[in-house]
Amino acid sequence: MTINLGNLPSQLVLPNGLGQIARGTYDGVNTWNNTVPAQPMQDGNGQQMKVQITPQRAGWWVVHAESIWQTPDAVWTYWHWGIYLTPADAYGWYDDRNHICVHSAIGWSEQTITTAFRLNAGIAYTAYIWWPNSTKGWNQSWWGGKDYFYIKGEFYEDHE
Amino acid sequence: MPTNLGLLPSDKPAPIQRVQIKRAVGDAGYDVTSANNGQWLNDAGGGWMGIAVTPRYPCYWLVRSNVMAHGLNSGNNWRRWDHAIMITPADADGRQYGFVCPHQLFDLSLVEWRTQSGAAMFRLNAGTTYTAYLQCQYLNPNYGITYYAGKQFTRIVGVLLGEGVV
Repeated sequence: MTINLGNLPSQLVLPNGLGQIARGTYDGVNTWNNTVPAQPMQDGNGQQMKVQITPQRAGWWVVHAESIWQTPDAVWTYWHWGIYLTPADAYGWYDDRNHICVHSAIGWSEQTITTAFRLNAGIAYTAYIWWPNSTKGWNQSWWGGKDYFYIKGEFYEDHE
Repeated sequence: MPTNLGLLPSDKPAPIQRVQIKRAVGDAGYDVTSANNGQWLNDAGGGWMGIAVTPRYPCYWLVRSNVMAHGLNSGNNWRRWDHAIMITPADADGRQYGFVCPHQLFDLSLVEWRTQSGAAMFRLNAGTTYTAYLQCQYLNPNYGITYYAGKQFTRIVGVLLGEGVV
């Protein structure tokens, strides 16, 4: 029986997808505002929310994050959050965002973000849930618990 | 030469995947009303928010979206606008709709941009070129909204799964 590998090298394990996930670790409210500079978001216990990979071959990294948010302030306030890649991907891209607008009267709101980065082989990449400090003002809160806060990666190596 | 399959069995097809992403090309807002229902979302670069594949084997296509919008100052009231994940031609199960994502919007003078996300799974036949795209699906009559086509904020992502396996 022959196995058609296309352009894949035969000395490496057959690409079959790789998964990574980081979950929040703190079942409580974290509150930041526009005095907090741009940085990775935290899991509530001082650790950054991130996933990492060093691919054997070039490929695509689909990164997906989910969170819930509220504001303690009785105003409509808005901000950005997103996924930040370092170093930038093979096309120079590194920053994808969502926009959210809430009021204390509506309580928690769920948000999901999905993106994909083109990765080169042999480079260590890190994708963070990112706080870009793009707030209008007021306070923004996220829940740090593992059931409500995560970032995950799905890596698919080339097979063309 | 031996082939390294890792832990994979050698008597089954190799599981393989492919990924597609389209971000909006420019940065522009588009005002729409219910008259725009059924139209594709612009990419702010003269094209549309869509991705295409031609599978070599029957497979599944997981497609996910992020779109943000706000209401126009046209009513001082809440309104619903939906964006949809669509496919053309219809998939192997005859489906054209993947998922319809409602946005809850108010006049911009009070409530700012809000992002919504969606996810759809289509079953594809081999040898057919499919396009998955984002569509203005529904807006309450007599209201207006603006959706944003921005490279940082507007995305459609596809993952082709299980070619030759399903």
